[in-house]
Amino acid sequence: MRTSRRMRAAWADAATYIILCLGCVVAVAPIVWGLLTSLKTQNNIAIYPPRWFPAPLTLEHYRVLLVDKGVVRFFINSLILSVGTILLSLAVAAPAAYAAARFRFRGKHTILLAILATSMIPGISILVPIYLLAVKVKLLNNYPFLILVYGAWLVPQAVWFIKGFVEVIPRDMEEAALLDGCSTLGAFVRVVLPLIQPGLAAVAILIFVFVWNDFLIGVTLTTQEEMRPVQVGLVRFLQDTLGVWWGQFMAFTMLAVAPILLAFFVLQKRFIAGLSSGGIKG
Amino acid sequence: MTSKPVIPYLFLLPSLALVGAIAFYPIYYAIEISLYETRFLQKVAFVGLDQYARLLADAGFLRALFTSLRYALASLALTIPIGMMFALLLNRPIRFRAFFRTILVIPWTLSQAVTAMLWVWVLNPSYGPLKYLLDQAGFGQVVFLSNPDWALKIVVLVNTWMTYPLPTILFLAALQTVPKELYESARIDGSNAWSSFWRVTLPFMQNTVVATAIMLTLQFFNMVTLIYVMTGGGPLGSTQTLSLRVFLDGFYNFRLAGAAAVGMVIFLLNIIFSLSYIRVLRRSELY
Repeated sequence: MRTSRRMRAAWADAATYIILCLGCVVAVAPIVWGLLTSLKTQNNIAIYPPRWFPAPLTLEHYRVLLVDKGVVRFFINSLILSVGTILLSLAVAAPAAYAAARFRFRGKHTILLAILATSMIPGISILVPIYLLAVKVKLLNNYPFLILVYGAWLVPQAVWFIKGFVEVIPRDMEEAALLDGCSTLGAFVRVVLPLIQPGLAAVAILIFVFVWNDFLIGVTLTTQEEMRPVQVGLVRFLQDTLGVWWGQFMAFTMLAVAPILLAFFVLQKRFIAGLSSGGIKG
Repeated sequence: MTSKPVIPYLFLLPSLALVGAIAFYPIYYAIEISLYETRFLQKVAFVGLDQYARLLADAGFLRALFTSLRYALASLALTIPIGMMFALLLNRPIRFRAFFRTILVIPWTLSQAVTAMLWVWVLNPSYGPLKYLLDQAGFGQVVFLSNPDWALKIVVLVNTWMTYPLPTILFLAALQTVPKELYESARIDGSNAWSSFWRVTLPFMQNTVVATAIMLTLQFFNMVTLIYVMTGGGPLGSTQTLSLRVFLDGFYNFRLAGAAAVGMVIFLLNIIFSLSYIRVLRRSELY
């Protein structure tokens, strides 16, 4: 009886490790295949049966992309959009979160519900009107407008997330600051903001991932090639390139993924915290 | 906290203005457009609910609606059990737990466009590794995404690949809150692992599972990029979902009013999904 239970536990452990290892292989295999492809010469890519490892190794595809095709532009665009959206969203969401967490006032429930309700609106339902709006007021290919749209998309969740961080900091310090003659704004900026920095950082990462990974908003609101963000540049590169240059396609894909994976490995805890807060993926 | 009564409103004003301008106004505008006949970017004539009436008579619309439902439900039926399986395994006292968790979460960090690119290459019918493996296993002539019977199923599988980490992490967090005593008493009652999962774990996690299911259903139903890049809706319209149709009609075919109307239908279906799930949740709680 006792040995059979021990046997069963050993089997359960073995099965656990096997399934988890298989899962990990499936999780990374397409990425590894893409990486290997990006390092192969064209002769070793368009070949059947496939050659698994890149011999000879080449960085030619990366050189072509970065030097000849000028894809760096797309990365700068996405960086501008990400940083802009992070700044805007935090500047707008943090005071709202503070008010929501700390004050009692008339209409609070309705206002908060209105803000949260917008995160229920599916992006695809308002993309056409936002596009028409941008055409009407001549704001296609306009970064401030794109940042406003990204910001509107992200602010409701940012408010909720930051509100949670404000709620757990003790009130005494703000109250002391107010007694010392600080204004409410002063107490918020000098006392509260420094204390909720970890929360702001977590939100900033989520926003970065959303904006960097966005295709839909970017493709809708940019029509000029040099204004395209990374994901749009990537997809259009696949669609517009004549011939099957999979070495270049995969090199571009690897470049597009690199900042996200880097951020993920460095800031894993915050990443997963964001994911479990109801991760955003557009 | 005491302060001047206008201050909280001032703190909330920027948020409200932003979501008002870029979420509420477009909804209003979308409803308005959907009531007109449009030609390119111009409104031509007021047609009332004509666009919507036309949709009901449009076989393509009904087919896309059906494709959306199949896509969302099939993806849900795969991601929830897979997420639960990984969560249960990661919750066991094993070595390298953090390592396994990290690796398993990676697909979630990738964008839909990147995911589509990677898989289109893996599935390449001339040089792809999957074709090679299937050839070795003796399956002749695989065509993957250009086969109308297979395209939707394959996109569902790829969607599952990039989404399962979300339920995994959410379920893992919930599993860690299940009180150990519940398992003890189940064991005394003679439950084995399988039956204590159904009798203890699942009921305890019910809210998390339902909330995750709602979130995922909506996400799948509203998804565009993955399908657009992998198949563009083809072959023979077999992967054309409602959301993809809005995107293609709005930005390629320039049928803006029609696209706006379908967008409103999607919005309505989102609301119906959310409400019906909440209702299921409430009823099962009473039970």
